[in-house]
Amino acid sequence: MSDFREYLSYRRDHLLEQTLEHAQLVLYAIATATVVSVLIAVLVYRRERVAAVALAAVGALFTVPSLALFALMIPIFGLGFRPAFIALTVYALLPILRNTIVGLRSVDSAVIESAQGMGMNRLRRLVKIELPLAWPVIITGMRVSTVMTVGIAAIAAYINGPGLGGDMLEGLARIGAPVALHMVLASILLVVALALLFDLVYLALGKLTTPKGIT
Amino acid sequence: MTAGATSNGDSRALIRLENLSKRFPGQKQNAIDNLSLDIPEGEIVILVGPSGSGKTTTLRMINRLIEPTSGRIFLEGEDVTSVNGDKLRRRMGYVIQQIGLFPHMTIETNIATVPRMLGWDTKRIRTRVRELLDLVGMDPEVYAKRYPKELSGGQRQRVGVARALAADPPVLLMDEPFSAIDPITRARLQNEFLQLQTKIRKTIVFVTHDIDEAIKMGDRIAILDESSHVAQYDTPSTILAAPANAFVEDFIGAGASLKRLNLTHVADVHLLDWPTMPVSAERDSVRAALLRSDKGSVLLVDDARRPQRWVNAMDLEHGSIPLAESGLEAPVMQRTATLYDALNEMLNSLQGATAVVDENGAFCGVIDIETVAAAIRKMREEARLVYRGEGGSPREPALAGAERGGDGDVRGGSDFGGAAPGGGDDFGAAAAGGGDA
Amino acid sequence: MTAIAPSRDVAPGVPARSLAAELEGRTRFAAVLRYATMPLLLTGVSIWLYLYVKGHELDSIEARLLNQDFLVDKLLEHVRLAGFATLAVVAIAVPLGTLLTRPLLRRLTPIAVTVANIGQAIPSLGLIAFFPVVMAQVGFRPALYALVLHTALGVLRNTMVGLDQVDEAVIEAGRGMGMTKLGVLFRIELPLAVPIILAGIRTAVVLNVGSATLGTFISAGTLGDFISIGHALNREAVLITGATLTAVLALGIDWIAGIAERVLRPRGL
Repeated sequence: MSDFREYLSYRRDHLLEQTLEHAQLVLYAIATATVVSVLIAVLVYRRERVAAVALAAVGALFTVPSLALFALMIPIFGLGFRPAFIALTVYALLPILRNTIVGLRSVDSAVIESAQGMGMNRLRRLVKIELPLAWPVIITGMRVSTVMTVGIAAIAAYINGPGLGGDMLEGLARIGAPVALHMVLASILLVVALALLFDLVYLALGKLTTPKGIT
Repeated sequence: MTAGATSNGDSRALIRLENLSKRFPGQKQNAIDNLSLDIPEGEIVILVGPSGSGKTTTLRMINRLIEPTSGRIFLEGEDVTSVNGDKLRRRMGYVIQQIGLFPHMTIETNIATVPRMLGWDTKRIRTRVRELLDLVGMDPEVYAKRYPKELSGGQRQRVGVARALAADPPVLLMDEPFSAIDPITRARLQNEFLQLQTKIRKTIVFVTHDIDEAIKMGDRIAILDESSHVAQYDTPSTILAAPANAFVEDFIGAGASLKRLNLTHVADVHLLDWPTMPVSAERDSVRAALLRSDKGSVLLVDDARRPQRWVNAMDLEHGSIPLAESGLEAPVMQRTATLYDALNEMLNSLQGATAVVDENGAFCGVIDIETVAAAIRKMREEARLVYRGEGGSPREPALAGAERGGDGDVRGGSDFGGAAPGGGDDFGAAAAGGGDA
Repeated sequence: MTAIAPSRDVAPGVPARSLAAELEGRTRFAAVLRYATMPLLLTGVSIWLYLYVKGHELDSIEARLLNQDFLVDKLLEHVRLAGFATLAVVAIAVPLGTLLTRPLLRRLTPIAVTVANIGQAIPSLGLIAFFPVVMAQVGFRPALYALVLHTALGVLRNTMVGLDQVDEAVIEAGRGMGMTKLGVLFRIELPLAVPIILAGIRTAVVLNVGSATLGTFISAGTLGDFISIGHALNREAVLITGATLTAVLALGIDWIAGIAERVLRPRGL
């Protein structure tokens, strides 16, 4: 135990850097996935069949095993940050897209109708009424997506991406040495801590950004 | 009231609660405190009281879903306070407000639950399920294989009753069985249930918070105060006429004389004869029937004698409209409905009279607003007698107030505009379906 | 891969679950889309892969890897690992979840659900690395442990949530009719929890098939070997074959699990 503490303090800068890289990768992926998801959702949510097709397609991508998806990035994008970022973005889509569609569809039709009655055009309705009302559901989707992506991002290390996965693979390569356990354990704990931290941030963000009047 | 009301004493107590108390862990006070109650065989006993009076807890102690802290429970003379609870519950039907049909089982399997646990053979269970579905007025061919989600609220409720009756238990415990159903369906289900009870004669303990329902459904009512203290335990008519104390009086609330209309069923009063004609008849023969009678209209009925339309002389003038569409639609009233239901129906339909039908929907007479008025008059007189008899009572019964308000109504009976001479003379003394055997 | 965390999936008060369900499979169209399109797609991809490998001139290394024997070996390793992991998860998590929702332990249910939620944040790669390092052993066993720990929490959680959402009135009715507590559990509570438990198991199967790929890092074989060997030796065809086969396997298993879920769901729900 004291060994482990020693390891943590000795490798503090390295671990911190890896954690920040990991967080950065996740945030980029989530931000991109959110923009893409909201765009897709806005295009499809009013047509049930199109929405079903979009969800089925994104759902199939979600089901592709992570190592396979990361590997398939190599022939196209090579190694490093870019393929890792793209693969993670693809994974992050499903929960956000699903919640955005659901959120937009559950806006009370009476509210939309009255907005229409006041002369709001489609774009204005979407921006001023529907998206704000759907926001709590969307942010929940982002939260689910983020917590999940934090875990998957570890595999990015396999294609030389950034983040805490590097120490896991490194530890594996040093089986038998005491430091192997320290490396693996520290990186696991940091990933879990990062996930919890994100969870809390989303909880707070959700509370702060939810329009007053919606509970 | 008088002759028809069940009198105390001679009927056997099928369930006896003796000094029952319940204290839930962590509470300072008894939720149920020293409750003793005799439930006579074959009667509907209503436990009614405000929320928090412990009526549901009491019911759940009878089948020991809640174990009493102290006291004893007897069923058919046997002390069942500490017998196996699961086996005890198989001897009692249980119907709850949400009904709780098993959503993953067909109606047939739902009803068969207890017989299966009791080890009946398949054939006997099948026959019984069919019999029960018939009994609650649902076609077994149509419904046996359906799932609960495919039924309406009223149908689910009927299946709930059928399921509770499956193994023919002597006792039925019902916890607000009709509360979650819309008012119109509720009234119909209540009437059907009373009809059913005349056939099955179960001993029924029935919990409700609704005093009107209690008056309508109960042979006896136990009005429960806090911790299930029995404020009054008596027949509905006595409770209305002579509330035992201020709590009961408050609980019954205003309009006691109107509530008393719930005590009398349409079947108990004299129904008026009315000229009827088949809806397929010739216009001329209808006109002739109208001329022969002293009434202003004729009731058209179908082949099964189910009422269809009211037509008067004016309607018959419009030769272009087929008979089946002329005149007014004829709303009907079950014989088991109360005078309260009947009055309600007449006020709603703006007709001074309504046709009464039997279980099969066939016409059996007409009740008019004058009959109802006469019944009110009669009850008022009887209530006054009771009131005088209770003269020594420190409190003035609530009825006194209601009466003053009611005077105008009764004197102005003609306001109702009923043409038929008072059927009040024939108003029977029988109250609330009390067993006169 | 439907919701691992149904109750956290959407904001409270929004009837979103039914809507999501509607969009994802309840409507006829979505069902057809899901159940008819997937086999066609997978067949198409498989044929493409076959033609791609066929049309590729294989060198000696590639030829040793891209043949039927090696492929069947790896496929069996993969299915064995994912299959055993799933069986173990069901055998552990469903009884444990049931136990944790019984009245005696009921107070622990929310705690257990929270722990399960946090536990799901543990990365699969971390677990795949953790067990060999701790056990000083590589191969099937540490891989099995990693998969089981990774997916058991989800099934545990769904079992508890599934049992928890059974309508109190239905249980009360069962007890009131004289069913024993065990009778109520087996004839009412568990059948009514089946859809949610099955959804959890389906997620577990698909995750296991996916994570089994990582077994290649700890000498547990599996189709992941194609990926790691292809990557290490810079043989793109091998890597693509591995990645595509894994994807086809996962989607195929998900498809079968989806049908099983539909068939096993009690009628009337």
